[in-house]
Amino acid sequence: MVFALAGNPNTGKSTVFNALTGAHQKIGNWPGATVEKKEGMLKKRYQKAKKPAKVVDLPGTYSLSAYTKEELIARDFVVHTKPDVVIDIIDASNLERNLYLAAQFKELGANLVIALNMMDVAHRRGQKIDVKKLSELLGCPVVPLVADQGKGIDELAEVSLLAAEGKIKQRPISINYGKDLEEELEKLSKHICQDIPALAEKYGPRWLAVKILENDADVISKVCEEDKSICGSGLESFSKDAEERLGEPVDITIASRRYGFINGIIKSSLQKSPEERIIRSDQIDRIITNPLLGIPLFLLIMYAMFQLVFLLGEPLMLGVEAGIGAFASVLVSLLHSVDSPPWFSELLMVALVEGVGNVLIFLPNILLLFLAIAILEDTGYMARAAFVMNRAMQKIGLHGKSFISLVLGFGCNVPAVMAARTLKNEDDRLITILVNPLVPCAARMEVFVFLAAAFFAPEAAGQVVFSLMLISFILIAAMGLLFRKSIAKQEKQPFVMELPPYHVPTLKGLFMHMWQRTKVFVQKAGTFIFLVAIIMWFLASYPQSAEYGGPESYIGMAGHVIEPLFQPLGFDWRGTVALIFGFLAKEVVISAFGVLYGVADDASLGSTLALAWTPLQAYVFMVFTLIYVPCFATIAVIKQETNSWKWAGFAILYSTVLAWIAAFLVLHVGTALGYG
Amino acid sequence: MPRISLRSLNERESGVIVKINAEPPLRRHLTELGFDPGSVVTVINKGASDLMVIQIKGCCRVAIDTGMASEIIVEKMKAGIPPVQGRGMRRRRRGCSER
Repeated sequence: MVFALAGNPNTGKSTVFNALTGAHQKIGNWPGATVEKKEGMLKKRYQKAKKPAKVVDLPGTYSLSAYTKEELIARDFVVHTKPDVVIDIIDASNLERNLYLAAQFKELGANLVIALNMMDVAHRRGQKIDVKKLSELLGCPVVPLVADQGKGIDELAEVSLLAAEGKIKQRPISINYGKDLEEELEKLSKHICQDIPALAEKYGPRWLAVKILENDADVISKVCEEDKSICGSGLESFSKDAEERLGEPVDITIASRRYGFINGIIKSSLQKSPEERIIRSDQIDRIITNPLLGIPLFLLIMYAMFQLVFLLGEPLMLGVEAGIGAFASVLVSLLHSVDSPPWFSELLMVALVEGVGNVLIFLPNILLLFLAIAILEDTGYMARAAFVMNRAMQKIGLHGKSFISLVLGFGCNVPAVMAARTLKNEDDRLITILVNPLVPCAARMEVFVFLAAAFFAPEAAGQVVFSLMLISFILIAAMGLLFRKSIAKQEKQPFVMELPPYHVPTLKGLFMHMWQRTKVFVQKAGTFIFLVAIIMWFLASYPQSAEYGGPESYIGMAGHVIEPLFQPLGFDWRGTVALIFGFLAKEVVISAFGVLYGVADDASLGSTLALAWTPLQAYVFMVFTLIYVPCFATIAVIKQETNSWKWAGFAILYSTVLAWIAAFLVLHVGTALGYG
Repeated sequence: MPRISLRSLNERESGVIVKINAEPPLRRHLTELGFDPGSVVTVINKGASDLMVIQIKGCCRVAIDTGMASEIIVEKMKAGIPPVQGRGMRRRRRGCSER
């Protein structure tokens, strides 16, 4: 048994989802899309004996047209998977707009249950909704809710189960589109039944006819696949005829009349319609989105978020590190006591301590980061941040919301790439993900600070690091524009975004949000990091006689092989090997140098390096480190978030090529200016 | 009634949607979002240079490009709808008249 959960954005859909399913949820992507998919089993206490019910959370949409991928996913799910019940969460204080989606579900023939959420808000605004009347007019059960307070959830589960079992009958509704359109629809339906019976069976002839008149690209292409003879001018003639009669585009008329139908329902079921007024949210917005105050406030909030994530995270991180250290020593003595072969001990150490340990060390930061994001989202601030930053971000090919993801990159690109989930448009999200690794994360900063201190006078070191930041900003802007021009599939869509009223989030909601996202990170990135750590260990310690990471090891040999590629940049095999290790985690670059030059402590490593390299070479190396291949944890999340190896591979390739070009330019310009 | 673009309405002025000049998919999206011909929209906030906040369907706030707003044609409503102030403000006003 499958329940599908649908609704407009900001109607408390995820709260209802959490209340129905509890903590056992599976989060992934919809096939072939970068749209988040959540599903979970209905809580045990709601389940009835035989068939367990699964709840699938559909993407939040305003309509079921194919304008956005989300809309298409929701529609296809209802048509193809045929859920036993579609639960449409509706904001009771905003009936008119929300019922538009409900009307479309009815048209599609879904077994609909309406969850009338936020009854308290509607009540406060003096709206009296006649629930019984509404249910009568819509021909489906309507359950009032206050999901934030857990009110009505039990009833919703009960009614949905009854509806799924067919114990509550739906009354099909048919929207009257007016005499002129109805005639066209009837003619078209006849054709559909004759020419494409298979599709007519699946979608219903009337629904197909409405969609064809609406010029729905997805439906029209499906019709054409089925029968070439009726597609093209044959179909167009219907909408042309209708358009001539109406004197305006058919799709507009259809949407208006659908709203007309809804208005009819509202007139007889709502006692008082919402009044025009300036609400408190608008007054807060006067300050938050003020052209002068908006950006400073935004920066302040970002700063606070950073503090929360990285300052609060630091002691926790140290704690985790200590824990891993303790675990490692226990593991060592345990392995020693059972006389395990050295290769096995080493492998286990690398896999568990370096591999899994590396993931765990990030965990406190990631938890806090997702908490911070949940706060920004659930209060409604995220929409305002996008509003405030939109102008600057649009100029470099990005979206207002991209900025949040970019800022997070300064901490760690892994959660930053994941934060791009808040972007709803696929192009915007992909571009944001691809430029994200260009933001220098804390690990790379560590490398820069170390090398700058070793090669430059203290007063110059700061400027050196700052110049790297500048390079990073320039590249983000350049790549953002380039990607927008080259890989964006759609025309840039104009900015249209709802500003939900400010809202005090519930603790439970925040923690659920935080936990769900963290779980995904641990599961997906975790397994990948574990595997790569083992592979890297193998390459660095074999063949058997080789020293760990030495010239005879596979990794050392690889360094020698790739060396010619890096010779034009002035890196020898050691530099190359250090960069290969940097793929594991950027901060490893320094310890790799330690191994390669046979120096243990950082201070003497600095002076050893200073003898081997010129400052310009060091700077070129830093530029390369700044830009080249994101670490594999980042690659893993890029793969996970874009749902494609192609984009993960592209991120590796473009960043490395870009790094090479930038480093080459810096080397030659630097030499020409006499810094060589 | 004069037909003007949504962009040229001032804050707190209302208009009735007449038509949207945009590519069909976007036009339909906006229509479905609540910019359907015949419905009333009110400008809530025009402070930013690139975006404006519009009230649609008597409730929701939607931020849209000013560029997009100039392609939405409205019939300006004569009086506009006087925004009814929040409860707090009304109380304050009553306090003044009592004094």
